[in-house]
Amino acid sequence: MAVLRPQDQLPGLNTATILLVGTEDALLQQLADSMLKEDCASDLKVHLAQSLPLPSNVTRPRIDLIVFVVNLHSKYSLQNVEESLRHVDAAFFLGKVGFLATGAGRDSHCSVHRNTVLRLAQAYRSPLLFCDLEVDSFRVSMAQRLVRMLQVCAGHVPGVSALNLLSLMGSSENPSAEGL
Amino acid sequence: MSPQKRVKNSQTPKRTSRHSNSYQSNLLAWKLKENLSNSKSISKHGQNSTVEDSEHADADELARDALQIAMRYFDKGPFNTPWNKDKTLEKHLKTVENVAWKNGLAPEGIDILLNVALSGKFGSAVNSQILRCMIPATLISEDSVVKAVSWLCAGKCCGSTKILFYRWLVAMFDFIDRKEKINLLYGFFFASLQDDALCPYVCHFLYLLTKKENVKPFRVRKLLDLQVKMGMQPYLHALLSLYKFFVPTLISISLPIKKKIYFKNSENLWKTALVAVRQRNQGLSPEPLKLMLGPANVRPGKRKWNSHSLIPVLSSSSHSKEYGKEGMSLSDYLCSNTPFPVEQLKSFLQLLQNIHCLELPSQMGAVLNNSLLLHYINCVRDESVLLRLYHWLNQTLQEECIWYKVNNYECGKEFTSFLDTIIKAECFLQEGFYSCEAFLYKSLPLWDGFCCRTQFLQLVSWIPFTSFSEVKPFIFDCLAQLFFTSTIYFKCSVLENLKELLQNWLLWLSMDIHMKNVMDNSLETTLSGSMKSVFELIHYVGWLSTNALRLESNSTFLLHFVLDFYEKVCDIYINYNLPLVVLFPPGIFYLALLSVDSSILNQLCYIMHRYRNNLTAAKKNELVLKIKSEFIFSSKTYQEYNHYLTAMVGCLWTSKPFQKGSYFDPEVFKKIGVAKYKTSLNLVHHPALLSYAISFLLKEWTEERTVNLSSIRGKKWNGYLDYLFSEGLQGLKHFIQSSICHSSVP
Amino acid sequence: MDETVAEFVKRTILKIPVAEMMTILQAWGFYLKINCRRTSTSGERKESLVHDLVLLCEEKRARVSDAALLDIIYTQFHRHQKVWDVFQMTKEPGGDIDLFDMKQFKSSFKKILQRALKMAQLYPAKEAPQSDSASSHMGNSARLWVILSRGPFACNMSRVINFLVSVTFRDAEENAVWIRIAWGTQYRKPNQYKPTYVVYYPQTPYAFISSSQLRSSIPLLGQALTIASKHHRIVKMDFRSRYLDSLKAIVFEQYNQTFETHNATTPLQERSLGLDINMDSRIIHENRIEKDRVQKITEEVFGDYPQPRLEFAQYKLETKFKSDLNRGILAERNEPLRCLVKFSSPNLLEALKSLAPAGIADAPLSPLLTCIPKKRMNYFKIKDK
Repeated sequence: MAVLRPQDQLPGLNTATILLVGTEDALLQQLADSMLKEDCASDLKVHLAQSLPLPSNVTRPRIDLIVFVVNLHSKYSLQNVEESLRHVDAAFFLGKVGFLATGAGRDSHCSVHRNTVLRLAQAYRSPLLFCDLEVDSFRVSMAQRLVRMLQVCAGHVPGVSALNLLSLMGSSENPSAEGL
Repeated sequence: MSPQKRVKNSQTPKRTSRHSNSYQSNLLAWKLKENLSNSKSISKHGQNSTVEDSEHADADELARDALQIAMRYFDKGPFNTPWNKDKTLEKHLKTVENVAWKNGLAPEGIDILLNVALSGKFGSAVNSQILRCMIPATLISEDSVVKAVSWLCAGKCCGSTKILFYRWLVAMFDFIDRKEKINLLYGFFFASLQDDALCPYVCHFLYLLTKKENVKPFRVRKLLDLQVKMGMQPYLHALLSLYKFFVPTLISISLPIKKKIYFKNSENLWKTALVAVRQRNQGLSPEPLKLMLGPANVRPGKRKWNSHSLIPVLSSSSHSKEYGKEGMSLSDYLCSNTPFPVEQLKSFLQLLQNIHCLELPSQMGAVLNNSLLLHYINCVRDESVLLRLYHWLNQTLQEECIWYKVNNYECGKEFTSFLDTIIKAECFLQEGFYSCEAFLYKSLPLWDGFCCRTQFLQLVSWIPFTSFSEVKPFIFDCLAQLFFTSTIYFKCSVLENLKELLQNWLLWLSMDIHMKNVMDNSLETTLSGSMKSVFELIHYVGWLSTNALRLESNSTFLLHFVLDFYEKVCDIYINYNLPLVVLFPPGIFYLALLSVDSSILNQLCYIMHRYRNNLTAAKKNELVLKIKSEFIFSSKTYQEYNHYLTAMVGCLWTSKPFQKGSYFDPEVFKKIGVAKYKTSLNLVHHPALLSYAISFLLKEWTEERTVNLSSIRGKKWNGYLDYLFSEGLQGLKHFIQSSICHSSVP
Repeated sequence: MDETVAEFVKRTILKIPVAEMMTILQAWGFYLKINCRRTSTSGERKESLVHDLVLLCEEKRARVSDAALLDIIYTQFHRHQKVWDVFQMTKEPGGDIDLFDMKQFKSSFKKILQRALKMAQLYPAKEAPQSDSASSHMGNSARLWVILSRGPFACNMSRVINFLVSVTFRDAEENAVWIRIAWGTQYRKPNQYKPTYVVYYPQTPYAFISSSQLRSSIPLLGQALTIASKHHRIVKMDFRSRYLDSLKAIVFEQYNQTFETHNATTPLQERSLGLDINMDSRIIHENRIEKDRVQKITEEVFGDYPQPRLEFAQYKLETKFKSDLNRGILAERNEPLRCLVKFSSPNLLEALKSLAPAGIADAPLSPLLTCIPKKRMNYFKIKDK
């Protein structure tokens, strides 16, 4: 399967699976570790990939959330994400994709401008989160947030769907008076 | 010790014996005194002194003698003798140098040496050597500097010596005991700007020396001319921006704020020595004035100009007469126009008496820690004061914020306490700082929602009143993203702080309406505009709350915070005298109405009661004043309220729930097996109150075996109501008393 | 004892950190007896120790050469404080195989250097034939010396010779010889505080010379080295590092060893190669095959041993802008684009090695980066062909 589709498989019982895509393996690994340390009612599974498409010869559970990690200090990492995005089915962008930009703290090191990632995220109608993954405490709180997003995306929070969450996170939309 | 030195020491005593009999001066006297105490401390230090140590002591004594001779040489000295004394001069210089770098020189010594160096008795090489070693033991007397400056006028020294002198002045500025007389020479220094080579150094010196009264139109003109002539030099720029700080009206050109390094480091030559002197002085002089809101934390190793902590210690740009010591009375001060230095400000009374001549500190950040100065800032209508403060805050927040310096997490605590201080000051002034708002714009998207959470959210609650829709994309959208992905505790604290924000805005607006004349020129202050902004804020919080409750599966805990917010909202008309009533969204209302928690229900009742009071008051006013504010009280608000009210009364009182509006087909209830759906939400059967009903029955009719809830009606109903009220459900009491006519007892 | 010698000894000892004091002094050997007498140095102030030592040196009438020896030992301990250049020597084909005699090497090195220096000062640079590159210049001047040494000026120099330069030798591990040269002029004694160090491994064509500001003296040094070691030509390689042992390892291709870690940072390997850390079964690496491939390629290129330490690699580029797509300002330029790319890291090769496994770059890396050990150079000039 060259293109990743959200509805290809049935969900596993009480499992929530996240796919982290990014070039820097060590950072992803640390983030995954922090996520698994979170207290969470669902069974978490973290898949790490350097790029998409994923190898097709393996069976894997349904993927509930894809997070693309862009290191602002490396253009290579942005290019890699842009390449990988082409292998994601459009249905994923209904709330099951997120972007994570790391390294924004050290302005002087950045070779990718913040707005570039922001535009990327807006183009794909997906939320963009900032976090310096190298700092332990920041990474832990980001892991916490990702787990919450994942739970919603996996349908483990009653009454809230992934698309629903997306509409809440979307910064461009104004809550309308009628919507309440 | 090197052999060279030993040789020298063995020579010096001979000289002493040759000269000391014939020469007794006060110079000798002070030197002796000082060194006696020095050597005492040394000998105390080395109790079990070896032979070596006593050698050291001897050496010290010898060095002291040598210094005396050297000083005498420079003071009166055989200058008339021709240049063949080269060797002697060199030796004396060496002696002075050694002592200077080791212990520093006394004020008298510096006086003598400055005289020598600038009078041009020696060549410029010697002069610069002398200047380089002029390190004060403690302080430098102002008079020596004035004398030295007079030598500059005599034109006896060359350019490089002058430059070195100015560099020395800059480096030693803090150690000059007073500065009034030097300040009187401001005109002279300013004229020296003409000299291209001197200009950067003079600029730096002026930057330190300038006080508000030094800023004159003709000087500004001169500076601007210079800038045209020499281009945008950073040092000129620095001085100009200082001038602009003091008198912004005089300088209309815009100066970029970004620039950080104005001056080349003039202190380099004396760097190590300066540290030593500072240490020495800290040991001697008493601590600076205790700060009122909390001590500034000292952090060594920071590259700040005058201080070592985030928030600078108070010090005005000039140290005027020492008020306390010289026994000057307050009235003297009132008569004179000399500025009152802020360090001496200790009581509110003093503030009142000196308010006309208060001189603000050289670094505005210092005011944050001083409540009296905050008072002053609050009442003085001087834009430049606030500008200076904002500028300082901008810089510091930017520089210190932790996630901009990823490798430096340990400063986190410091940053937290810095934010705390800012927030304290904001609370004290009851006013948000614009620089904090700008900081939030920039850093909120990067915030992880965890570090400094309390401080950050508090900063949010102090965002100055603006148009909500303008701020929203920068602050509230980021906040929403964090809000929806974070824990319930984060959600609660966000709601709590948004309540604070609302309150701050309301207070500000209600003040503003009373002082309308002050603000009527700005665009954003039409009443309906302001009301719209507040309305949008409330609306935003409503949106946040509704969705948060869904995300957190209708948590009661969260609902409490939501209702707390609406407790503020429902009373806007009466409490703040602002024409605005905004109801809560149905998502919150029904959740609260159907809650299993009695305190939630109680709170809802209270809020409904307050809404009623506000709406009736508004209606009354409308009728009296015959003015209808078009946007605020649409009939829709009343309809909505009535709708809610009917639903509540229907559920709790008349046992006819959901007749209008959200109507349910009775068949539905039958299907799900709730046959008696009509009564199941009244005061007795409501899940939040059921336990009250049972304990009421058990208490009143203890003899009965079975508890029959439906027996509560008629008189018993009234008894039950009293029981509920006595259990602390005051909100319910208010609601029932105001909204329900008693004849309608079921 | 001369005052300058005392000062020299004093300054050298002051440089030594207290912790290493005993080891270095013992290696020096000159004042071993003192050390036995003063058993504890830790509690004492360094100054007083130095003072005592200087006094004892005075007693023992230490010479400059003794002090220089101490300085060599100190430098051997702190070799990473210098930047070392690698020089390669070659023999002309058909030259007969000589047996190496250390004694002879030392004495001829010293002699040749002293004479060369003398000549250079009598006949300053303008008389020497000019040539365009440093290497050939060195070869030429070596030849020049051969001519001169047979000429009429070859005699009657010994009187001034001692004044020009002081040369000290110390034999070190693996037959290496450390040579310390302090340079002087006709009018001044050798300056002991700006010496040049040469590390030469006998019977190899390589010598390592510490960089110094005295550039003019390097050709003379090369000349002396070439002749004394019976080579014919010496070329400065574009290869330079603080870590002498690493340079040596690359030059002599001795890889399987651990390299000195002076300012030890956390080993990059542990941090970046995520595969081994992964213990949790809930974390699944999707690109395991790809990772293994990268790992394999990296190992092929860099080997599985710790990399020698280099701090930088520098690439001077001089290229034309080539693009078919957008013919912008750059395309119309006739002049080549010049730029300098410098990579620096506490441990450059190790950093390069972990680039691909860490996911910062694609594997395999550009050969320009990976050829450093093979080509034995870390200064490159790249031009259009």
